Amino acid sequence: MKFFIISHGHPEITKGGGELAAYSHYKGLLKEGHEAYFLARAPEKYLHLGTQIIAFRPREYLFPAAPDLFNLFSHIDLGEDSPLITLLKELKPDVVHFHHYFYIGVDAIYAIKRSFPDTKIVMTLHEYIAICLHNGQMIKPDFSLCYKYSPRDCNECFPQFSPENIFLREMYIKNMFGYVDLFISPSHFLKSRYVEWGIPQEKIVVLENGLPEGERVPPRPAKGVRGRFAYFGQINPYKGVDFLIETFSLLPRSIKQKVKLEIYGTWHPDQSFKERVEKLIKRNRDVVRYHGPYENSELGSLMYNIDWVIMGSIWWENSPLVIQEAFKYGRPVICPDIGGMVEKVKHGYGGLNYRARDHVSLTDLIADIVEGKYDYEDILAKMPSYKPLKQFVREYLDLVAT
Amino acid sequence: MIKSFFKILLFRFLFLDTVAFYGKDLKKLVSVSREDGGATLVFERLLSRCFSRGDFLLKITLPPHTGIRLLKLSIDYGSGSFEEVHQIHLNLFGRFDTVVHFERPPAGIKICPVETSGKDISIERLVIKRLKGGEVQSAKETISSAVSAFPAEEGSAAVFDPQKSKAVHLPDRFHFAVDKCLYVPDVGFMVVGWFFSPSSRMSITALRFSVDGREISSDLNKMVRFKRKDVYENYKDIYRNMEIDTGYFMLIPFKDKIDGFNRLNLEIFLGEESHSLEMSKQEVEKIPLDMRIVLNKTYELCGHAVSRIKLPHLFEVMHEVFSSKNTGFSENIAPEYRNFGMVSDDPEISLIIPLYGRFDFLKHQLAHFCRDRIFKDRRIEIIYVIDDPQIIEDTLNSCEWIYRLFALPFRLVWYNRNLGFAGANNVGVKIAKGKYVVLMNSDVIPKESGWIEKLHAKFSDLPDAGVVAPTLLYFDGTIQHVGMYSSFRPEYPGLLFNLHYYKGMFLDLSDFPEHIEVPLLTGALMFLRKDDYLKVGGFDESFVFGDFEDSDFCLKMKKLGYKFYILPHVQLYHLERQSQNLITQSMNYRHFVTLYNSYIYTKRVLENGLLEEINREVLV
Repeated sequence: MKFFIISHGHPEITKGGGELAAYSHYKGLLKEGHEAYFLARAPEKYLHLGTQIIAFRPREYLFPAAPDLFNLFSHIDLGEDSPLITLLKELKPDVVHFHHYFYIGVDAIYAIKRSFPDTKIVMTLHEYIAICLHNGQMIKPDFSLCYKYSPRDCNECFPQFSPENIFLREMYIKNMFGYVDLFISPSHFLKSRYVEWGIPQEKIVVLENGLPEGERVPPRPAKGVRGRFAYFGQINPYKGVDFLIETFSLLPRSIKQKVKLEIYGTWHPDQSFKERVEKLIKRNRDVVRYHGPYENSELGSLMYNIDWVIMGSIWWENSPLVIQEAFKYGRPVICPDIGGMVEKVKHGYGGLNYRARDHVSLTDLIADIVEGKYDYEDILAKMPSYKPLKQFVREYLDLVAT
Repeated sequence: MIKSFFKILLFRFLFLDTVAFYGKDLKKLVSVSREDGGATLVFERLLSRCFSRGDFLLKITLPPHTGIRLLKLSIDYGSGSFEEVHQIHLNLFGRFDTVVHFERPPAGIKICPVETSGKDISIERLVIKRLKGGEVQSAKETISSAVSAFPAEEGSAAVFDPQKSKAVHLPDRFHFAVDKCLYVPDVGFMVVGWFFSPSSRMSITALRFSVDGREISSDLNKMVRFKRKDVYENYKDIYRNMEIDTGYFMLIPFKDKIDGFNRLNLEIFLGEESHSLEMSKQEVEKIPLDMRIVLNKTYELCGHAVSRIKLPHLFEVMHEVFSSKNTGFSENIAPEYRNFGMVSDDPEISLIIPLYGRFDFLKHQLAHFCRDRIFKDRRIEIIYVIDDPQIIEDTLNSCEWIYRLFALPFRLVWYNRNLGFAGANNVGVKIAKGKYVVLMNSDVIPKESGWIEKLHAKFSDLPDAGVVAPTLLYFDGTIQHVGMYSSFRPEYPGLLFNLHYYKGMFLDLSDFPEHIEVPLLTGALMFLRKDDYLKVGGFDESFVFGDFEDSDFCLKMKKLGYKFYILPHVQLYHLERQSQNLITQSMNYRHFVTLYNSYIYTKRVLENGLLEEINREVLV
């Protein structure tokens, strides 16, 4: 079969869990002997003057697009003779797979169905942008959790948009989603939110993203205390790195001496946020260390030196890539007890949970870990395995072939 | 903030023609200063960088209900001092629009309200458009027409000012003043002022009005009296038992086509004696025959002070003179049009959808029409009528892209006027080729496919069907419209208002049958035969802005013996945001217009003896 994968970014240009999942998906299909193509959104400067799509690597293409968070309209030409449709006419894929609908816009779904009625359209859902105007995070402006979409409530969060306009947006997106043949959700939690919002239950299948194959690394040689915690990922307001540092600063001195929070990752562009977190790190040098950005290929060796992967997310998450990576390399995950995180990591199975956004709950948990209340070997033994790319591709093909 | 920075950069270096700022980002770009006593908005350096030498159109939106109607714009070219360059008036669109010419890139820009010092001020939205040479004049014209059509401030009636009034003062005996005289070409003069007699012995026995010596009749009975607090305040300490209803409004028909006149003379007879007041041409304000402006002036000068009981009298006086003049504007319109795709030559049904203000609804509607098989079968003709000169260019441009995407043929029709809802539909139906027409508002979005077929089928089945309509729902799924009826309300004796059955309730409140015969239907969505529409002359364009023309249309159809049906189980959303409560809201210009429309409608209902039929308070 022939696949055309559309992604909201190319991992060589913009790093993020979604881009990586899309790219692995594409690479996995190639590896299994299928014909696959990859189209990713890129900043305008990557394109030649007057082009809308360019070849970037063999089989890989780039398109530029401005984000349209409100309408999710497409801002590229989608006419019958447009570059995108022309490219697809040449490639003739059996399946067009959208990884995310942001940037490419939901109009593209219609345009592809219009020009290629027999082509199957599959879409992987990544977060909640169709449902929530707050960057798809389903949290309110004061960062409290949001449980349900409603135009009136959304208008409370975003007074600049009337409930009628928010409803109009919803109807438009749902209309375009109507042309998708199959949705894939990497977590049951994400699926449930989209089903509640209005996508028919039977149109969404849960399938965890696949990861390139890798081996568990042996536990860190440690005498007694398993006190090395590491955060991997972008340092942004939603990931709760500031929350983690604050929690570590609140630990009693006796425990502080036995633990370390290691931070790996790139900064979110928001300068004031960066300054605040940098100040926090500096003030808590005794327990917190910032290591700078990392490459995905380093993850195995970085994980060798730590005991736990820790998350502080203040939003629901979908299926965080870092949890799958941790499972792959054999490190249990400490994460909040909400959304896509608690679905993948249940207390004792894959790691440990604490009450989301609760400093006390997390300090207690760390104290318990230091005091040896948890059997590290047992948690390792009960840890689920990640989904190898090969297996993902097999299951994916079963889904789209039917 | 970073987004704004890029926007400014792209705009400054000509990659964008227009930029819009709003929300938090805008708050960071504009700061509030209280230096000069009042609050002033100061464009931060970054925002000032948007501008280079040249002309720019600024559209400034302040939060609603600030009461601010005039802004002052000052520019600093680097000397550190701000020079006032413009006054910006609030316009028809609720915005402050202006064209600014910059000699060189400005160092700073300030905006402050005039005569509303001390008020909090903030800015909600700012749109900046770079104007090319040819666009400057047309932008200025658009702005001035949007300002002049906009209602003047509430209660800003002529204030007692002996200097400005033309007056006859006979102490202890009689006082008479003309505050304002307006001339509407081809219609006549509107005169507003006040008079009273402290001694009950004196009263006006006749008035003689003459233009350049030619006498025109003036009927004392058609004088409308109203409250003048200012006059009362001025005289209450001089005369005991001072009256309060000293104001008067007169409409003196003058149908002479000759536009020029030099002098007006008003002679007031008090029994044997007479006094005369002269007005020169310069003292008479000429206003166009546009009911929006006429009513605005009337409201400003007296309408707000006329008691509710006397309002029908005021409207009667006006209607008598204006009714024959104020209709059929669309007949003289020669619309332009463009077809997107192959629009059917022989459609069965034509959809007519006027666009005003917002044109983004078009994309939303077409996205839904695309899903509906009936549109693919090409038995339908979609006609969008742009009834708003301001959006013609943007609509045409966006339609190119929308057609490339949906490939669903439609026709776009436009003309350089704002005719209102009635006129736009009249233009659309005239062009329509279908046997049937669906009159549809642009903010009506189908809930599901198949609605046109269902309306069509019922129309053919039901006895004497004149108009068939679906249920309209609010965004939250509650009822907006399942038919309506007219009723007198205690708030305004003598005037009928249209009330909607079950408004705001869920449909399952009642066990609705498949169809219900109702007294009246809203114009937001109607299915009917084109010939019937034309036979009764379409929507009446003498209603101002657009209310009551739908119920008035129903009256005309009723006279032909037709019935109206609502289909409770065919549903579409109507995303209207009601900006005013037709009945209970406090008086303002817009409300005054509604009352005027209501007067015309009520008159027609009563003249045709249809009150009983349309005043059915229970939906059965």
